[in-house]
Amino acid sequence: MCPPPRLVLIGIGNRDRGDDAVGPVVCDLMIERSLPGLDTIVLEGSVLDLPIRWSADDRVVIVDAAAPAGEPGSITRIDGLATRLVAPGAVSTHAIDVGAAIELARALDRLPIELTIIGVEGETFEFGAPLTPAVQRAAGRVVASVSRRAVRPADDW
Amino acid sequence: MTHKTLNLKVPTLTRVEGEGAMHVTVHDGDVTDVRLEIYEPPRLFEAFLRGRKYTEPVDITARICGICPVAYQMSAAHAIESIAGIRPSGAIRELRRLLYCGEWIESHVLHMAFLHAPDFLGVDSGIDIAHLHPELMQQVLHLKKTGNRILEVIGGRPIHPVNVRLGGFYRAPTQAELRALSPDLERAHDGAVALLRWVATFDYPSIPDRLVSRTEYVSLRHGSEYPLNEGRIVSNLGLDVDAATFGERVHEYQVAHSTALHAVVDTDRGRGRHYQTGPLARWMNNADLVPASIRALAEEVGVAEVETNPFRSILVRGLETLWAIEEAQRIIAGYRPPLAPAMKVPAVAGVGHGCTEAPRGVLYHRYQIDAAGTIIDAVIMPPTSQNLDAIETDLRDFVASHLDLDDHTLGHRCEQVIRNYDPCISCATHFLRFSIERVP
Repeated sequence: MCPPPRLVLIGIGNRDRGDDAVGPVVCDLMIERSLPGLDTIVLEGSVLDLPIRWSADDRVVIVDAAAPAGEPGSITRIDGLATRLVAPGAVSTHAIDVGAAIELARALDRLPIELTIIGVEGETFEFGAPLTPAVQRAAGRVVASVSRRAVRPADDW
Repeated sequence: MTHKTLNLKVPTLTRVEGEGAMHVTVHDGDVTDVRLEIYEPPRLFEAFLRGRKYTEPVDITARICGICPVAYQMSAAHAIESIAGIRPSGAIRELRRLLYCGEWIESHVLHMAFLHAPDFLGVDSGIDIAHLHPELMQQVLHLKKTGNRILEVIGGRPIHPVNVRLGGFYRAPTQAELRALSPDLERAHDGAVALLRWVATFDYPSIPDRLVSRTEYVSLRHGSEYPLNEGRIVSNLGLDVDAATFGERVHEYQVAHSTALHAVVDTDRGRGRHYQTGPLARWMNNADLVPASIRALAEEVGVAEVETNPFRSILVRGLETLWAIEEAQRIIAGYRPPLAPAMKVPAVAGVGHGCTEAPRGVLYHRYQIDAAGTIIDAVIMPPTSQNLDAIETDLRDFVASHLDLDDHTLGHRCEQVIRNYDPCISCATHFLRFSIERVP
């Protein structure tokens, strides 16, 4: 049986801004698990070069904090291949978000075979604040989910 | 003669850093009003710095801009080190240049491919260009990543570096760490050449009668190298001063329609000399200092030693990107780690000035500190503030000479005039001096 394709976990966020750190924290926790076939990338700055962070035959999971909407720690999964993430229009460095970067990858024909975006709803983004308990628990759930995904080529999230 | 009355309003400028608007009024064929309206709130960094320790501006001012934090770190470091008479040399100086090269690469490439090129192609964004030129845009992404990687290796992270301190760095990279950048730089060189040749195929609008003799182009000039971190401040009209004198001769003034200050050289508003800074100025004052390889490419793409068409600044940015890559390769090839990563910089009472070349032009810092090392006063003049008068002048001249264009096209071209300067509005809005009158 062929091993599953490489799984690339990309954690996006600022470690010094409270719940915005959830992406990097998930990466840290996954590194501790040392799972074979898993690569982790932490992006604390520009996401513009996302399209060249993966190969066409990779499976990719992006973890990012989501804006507060009343349920801190709630997890949203989006199929990045099936969903158009940004309306066509102007792109500036202020607006190159994950959605725009993925649309750039789509335009370049550089999408991976599988692309899942996991948004974890944050509660606070204060300078120097730790993860809030709800987001910390959500990070654990995401780690468990990504771990399962890393070892099983076909799985439903 | 064209008799035309119109109001051009662009309430939110796109593909620039920060938030601004543009307003142009033409009355019966005359341009009667031009305003680049900067409405982004002032960020008051100069006030934040007062009372802080003299060691802190390299970190605090880096937060002014996510695109050019190195420029703020370098200008701050040079200004404060000058008070103590410290001038880092050797490997520390080279590492600072290398760090700056990384910033030039990532900033210039971002502007060229994603912010400015869409204007010339008549598309909305870099995503549209990616559909048209996928291979080139992959090279562009690699170029951007290479610039950020240099920042990460030397500065500790790709944005807002944390490894810079007065006198040098907290930690100097090893030879192996720098040499690991070489394959990426080699590939980036190919990408930069391809990007330059591509932008050279664009059709360039012009502003008639824009004469070099009427415009003052201000930049650093160093005796033997294309300027990044050091040099005197010179212009094509005879300015030739050190950083301290430059600070004395530049006068900032406020206009009602902007939260960013404007600037003139020598005396105050209305009587001072308007000037511009940035790639065209650097090239005009320093084209003789680039290696033969860059000069050959300049000749190939038709860039003369004196370029005055602001629309062609994208070509100079392309040449400077290539130069920054070659300079980075030179530094890495000869790098030997310093014996200590930083020189000691004691607290000395006094006033220090620093000027370095941010990607968008001259960035001036001035600090006054006391004997305990507390900052008494801080002045920061970013290039975008210094360019605001030039942008408004270009808008006025361009509209006056293109009244035959329909309103939509003219409005779009005016946005392009602004983007010629790659303005960083977020950088420019630190300077609002305001007073409050309390009526009992």
